[in-house]
Amino acid sequence: MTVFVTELSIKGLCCALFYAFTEKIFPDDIKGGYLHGETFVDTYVKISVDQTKYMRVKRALIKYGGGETFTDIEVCLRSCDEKAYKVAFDYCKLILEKRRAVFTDLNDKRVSDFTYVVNKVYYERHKFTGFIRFKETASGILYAAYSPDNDITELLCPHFVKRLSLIPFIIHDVKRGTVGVSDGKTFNIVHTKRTAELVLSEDEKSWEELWKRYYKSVNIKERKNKKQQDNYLPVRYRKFMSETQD
Amino acid sequence: MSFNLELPTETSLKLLAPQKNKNSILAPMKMLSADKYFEAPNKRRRDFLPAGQTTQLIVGASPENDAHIIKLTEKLYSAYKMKRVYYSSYIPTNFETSLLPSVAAPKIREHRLYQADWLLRFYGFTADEITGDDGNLSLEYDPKCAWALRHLELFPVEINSAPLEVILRVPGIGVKTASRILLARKNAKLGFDDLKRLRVVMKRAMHFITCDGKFIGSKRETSIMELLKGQDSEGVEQLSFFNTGAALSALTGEL
Repeated sequence: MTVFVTELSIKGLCCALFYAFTEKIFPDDIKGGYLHGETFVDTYVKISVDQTKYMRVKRALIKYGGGETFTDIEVCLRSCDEKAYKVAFDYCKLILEKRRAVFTDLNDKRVSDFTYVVNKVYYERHKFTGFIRFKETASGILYAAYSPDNDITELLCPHFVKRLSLIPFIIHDVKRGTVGVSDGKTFNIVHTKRTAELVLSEDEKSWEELWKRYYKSVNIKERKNKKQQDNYLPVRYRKFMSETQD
Repeated sequence: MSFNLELPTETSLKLLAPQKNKNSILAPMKMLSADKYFEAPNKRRRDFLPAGQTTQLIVGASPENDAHIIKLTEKLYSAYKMKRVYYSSYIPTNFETSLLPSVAAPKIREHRLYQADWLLRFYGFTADEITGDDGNLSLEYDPKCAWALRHLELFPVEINSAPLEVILRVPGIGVKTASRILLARKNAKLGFDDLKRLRVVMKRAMHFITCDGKFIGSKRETSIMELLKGQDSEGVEQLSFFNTGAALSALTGEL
């Protein structure tokens, strides 16, 4: 089995594609990051990142697949699914072979797998636009901690820049250490292993109490449906939401 | 904005909510459905009520049957340009009165009405097609399935050539899946494995479709009916599991 090992990013993926098409060696699997769990039987090919090769493949993917497809490929790499990298590689390989957009070929397993993975990431992003809970700090900056399955912080920040307009905020993915920091107009992504030490504003406690009371009063006891509620608001998301922390 | 109709007929309204009258609800609704509110001067969003208007009907407090409610819903969508019609199951309070039933309406009835509402809005059904002969929606099968079982002579349909309106009528194929089928079949003929990958609910759809002439469902009407009974996974999972009167009625389907 041939395994490509390269940087887990769109650049790494494009360089892997470049290598595959020029050397005519197509891998059975592709891994990002460091090698671990090597076996004697498999052949490992390490592929380095090169800016020129990346740009050539990127241009080809946009030319044949379209600009939106390229964005979808980047989103696919944010997925927590362990097969996401291979799925993205196969999809790009299909685009480059057919030299046209392939997103309508839904009967092809490579296209349907890719669409499935991408839609899961977008769906989680959509859910978190509603599930994120901010706390107001003493300095007026809003801080939100959360733990999504996929790496969606960079996808969420533009929404909140518009939504909170001019209020600075921080969105902290505690699992990955990815932090989206915004001054209210633009945002940046920072990586850190530190945890936040918050000094909350005076009113913050009262706002939280109000929110918890509102949540309790809005629920209709006679229409309780735990199974449906767990489906709509998964249990793993609840520990960062103030209303469900009781 | 919502003007709640609450009750489907003027008679019920007079009996149960005499302080409201039909005109006081319908007149403002009609006013809001006027064309001027639907112009969008900046072409992106109109200024007044951009989310449209909605209404609510109480189900089970008055004796009207489902056919009546669905016909009313259809009129509200077409003539009053309603965005959504909501149905709320009647739940009795401690205050007993001879005017109102003492038992809650089965929740499954509300669920079936919402399913019928979806058929009206997204599947191209008309109100007359949805309800059966007795004027009520089946509690065993969802309305789409019930319609397909009443019209088995129209099936099976060929997935690779049937138009969208026909594919939408197949149980197990929803709006998203139907559009995926239409996209996918442009490139290649679809087989049963392809349909499974396209997220068609094959357990239900297989009795109503052919793929390139091949048919893998059951041909006997009675066995199809047995196989499809209670397969409405949404209906069963959304119900409460507490063993109270209303919930039990919803589970068993007994009124």
